Amino acid sequence: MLAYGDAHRFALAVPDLTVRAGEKIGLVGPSGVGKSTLLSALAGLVHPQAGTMMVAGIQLADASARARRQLRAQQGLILQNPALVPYLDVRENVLLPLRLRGDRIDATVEARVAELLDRIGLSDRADHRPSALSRGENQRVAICRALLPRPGLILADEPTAALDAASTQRAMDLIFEWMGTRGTLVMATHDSTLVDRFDRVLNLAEWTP
Amino acid sequence: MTRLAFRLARQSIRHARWRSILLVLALGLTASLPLTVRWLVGSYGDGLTARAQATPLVLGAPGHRFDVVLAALWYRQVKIEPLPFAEIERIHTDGQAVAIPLHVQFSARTHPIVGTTPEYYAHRGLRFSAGTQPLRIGEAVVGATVAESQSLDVGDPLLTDQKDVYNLAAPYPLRLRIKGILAPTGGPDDSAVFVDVKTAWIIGGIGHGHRAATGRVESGEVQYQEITDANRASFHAHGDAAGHPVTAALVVPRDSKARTLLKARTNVRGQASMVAPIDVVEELLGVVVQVQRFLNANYAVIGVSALIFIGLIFGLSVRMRSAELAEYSILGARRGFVARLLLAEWILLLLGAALVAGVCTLIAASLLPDLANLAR
Repeated sequence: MLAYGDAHRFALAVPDLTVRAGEKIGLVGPSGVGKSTLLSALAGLVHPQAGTMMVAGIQLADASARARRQLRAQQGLILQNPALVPYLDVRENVLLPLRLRGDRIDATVEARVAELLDRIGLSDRADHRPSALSRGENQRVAICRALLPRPGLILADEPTAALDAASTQRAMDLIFEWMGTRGTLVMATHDSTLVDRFDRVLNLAEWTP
Repeated sequence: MTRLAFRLARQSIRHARWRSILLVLALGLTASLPLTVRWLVGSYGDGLTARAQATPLVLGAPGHRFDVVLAALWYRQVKIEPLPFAEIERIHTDGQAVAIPLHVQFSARTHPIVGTTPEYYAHRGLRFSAGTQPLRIGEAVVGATVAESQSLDVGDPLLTDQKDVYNLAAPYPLRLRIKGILAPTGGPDDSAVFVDVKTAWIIGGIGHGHRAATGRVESGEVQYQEITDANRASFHAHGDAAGHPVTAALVVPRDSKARTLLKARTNVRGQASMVAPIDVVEELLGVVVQVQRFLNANYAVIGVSALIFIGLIFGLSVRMRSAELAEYSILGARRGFVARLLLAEWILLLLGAALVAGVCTLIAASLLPDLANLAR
C-alpha cells in the first residue's frame, strides 16, 4: 500500500503494484484522481506519506540524493506542460539531458536527434526556440528529449494532451517503437483511443480512498 | 560541467539581451563614478606633487600661500599683493640662493604670459623644439600646446590680450615676436607664453617707449604697440626697478642650510612669505582627501543600495525562471549545477559591468582637463 496526501485523508492510495521491466502501463481516471501524483512519486519528485516504493531495485525513501539523481538520469520524464529551456533551440533542448550527463555529442547522437525530430515532424523547427513553437510542438520536443538517451523507464503525464489525432498517433508510434520491448512505460492519459496500446491499464479512480 | 554552465549562461544572457545590457550598464555606470573620482584625485595629486617637489621654495606676498603657489607653479592668474622686485634682489645679494622672478598677470590668446629671466629655462630643464629663449624685450617663447593650438611658429607675431577694455588709460596690447618654441613637457609650461620680466612690465604699462611703433590688426578693431629694432632702445621704465612688481619668485637655495636660513629670515621679516610648495600642495590635497572620504562614504551607501538591488533582481530572476531551473534537476543535472549556472551568469554580467566601468573611466579621463589647464 502506497499513500499520498493529507495524513487524515489520503489523496491517493495505491495497492501493491509491480511493474515489470518492458511493461507498458496506462494510467486512466478522471482529472484529480492522482495520475500526475503517482508519476511524480515514481520520479522521486514527491514523497509518499506511507508505504514504500522501489524503482530499478532502489528504495526511493532511503535513497541518497546521488542515487536519486542517477535514477532520474536513467528515466525519461514527459510532463503535461513541459518546461523547455527558453534560450536553447529545439535541437539543443533535445540534447540537454545528454549534455547534463556529460556524454560526448558525436555524429551518431546528432543523427539520432535528427531522426527523432524527423519522426515526430519537427525537422524543420530544429533551429527554433521554444517561444516560437506551439504548445503541441513544445510537447513533441519534450517527447524527443525524453527518448533520446534511450531510458529504461519513461514516465509520461498526458504527453499527447495538446496534440491532434494524427500527431498523437505519430508520437505514440515513436514512443513505443523507440522503447522497444525492453523499455518500461508508465503513462497517464485521458485519450481512450490509446488504451489498446498498453499491456495493462490501471484505473486510478478505483484506488481513491 | 562548469564549461556547460558557462555555455548555458552565455546563451541565457544572449537570449535576455536587453535585460542583460541594461543590467550591465547600470552596474558599470554605478561602479565607474567612484573609479573615475579615485583616478582623477590620484592623477591630480600625483601631478601637483611632482611639480611641487621639483620646486624648492616660492617667494610671494605674505598671507596668500595657496594663491602664490598656484600662480608660481601653474600660472593661475590670481589677484594678490605684488611682490616688489627688491625682494628678489635681496636674495641675490645674500648669495644663499638663486631667485627667479615670475610675473603672471597677462595673457595672449587666453594663454598666461609668464615674465621671467633666463634662469627659469635652466631650472625647469626646458628644451627648445625650435628657436631660442627670448634674448630681447618684445620677444616671446611659447609652450608646445600654445604653438600647436594657435598654429604659431618662430618669427610669428603674437598679440597680448587687452586686460581691461574699459580703461582708456590702459596701454595698448603688445605685439610680441616669437623667438622660440618649447618641446612638450606634459606640464603647465606647455600652455604658457614666456617673456622677459621687463617685457611683462611693458605690457603692464610700467615701461614704455617714446618712439613706439603702433599699428592695427587687419580687422581694424585692435590697436597695438610693437617693439622693433628701430625703437627698442627707447623703451625704458621710470623709477627704481626695485619697486617694480612681480607675482612671485622661485627660490633655489644653495643647500639645505641656506634653505632653512632663507625661509626663517624671510618669514620673520614679514615683507614677503617663503613657502615650500610641497607643504602647500600637501595641505591642499589634505582638503581633497577629506572631500574624497565623504564621497567614499556616499559611494559605500550607493554600493550597498546597488547590492540590495542586485539581490532583488537575482531573487526575482530565480523566481521567474523557477520552472526552467527545476527542469535541470528533473533532467538529472548534478547537485549544485543550477547554482553554478546562476553564478556563471553573474560572473559574465559582472565582467561586462567591469568592462563598462573601465571604458567609462577611460572616456571620463580623456575628457577631463589636463593639469596644464590649471593655469587658466
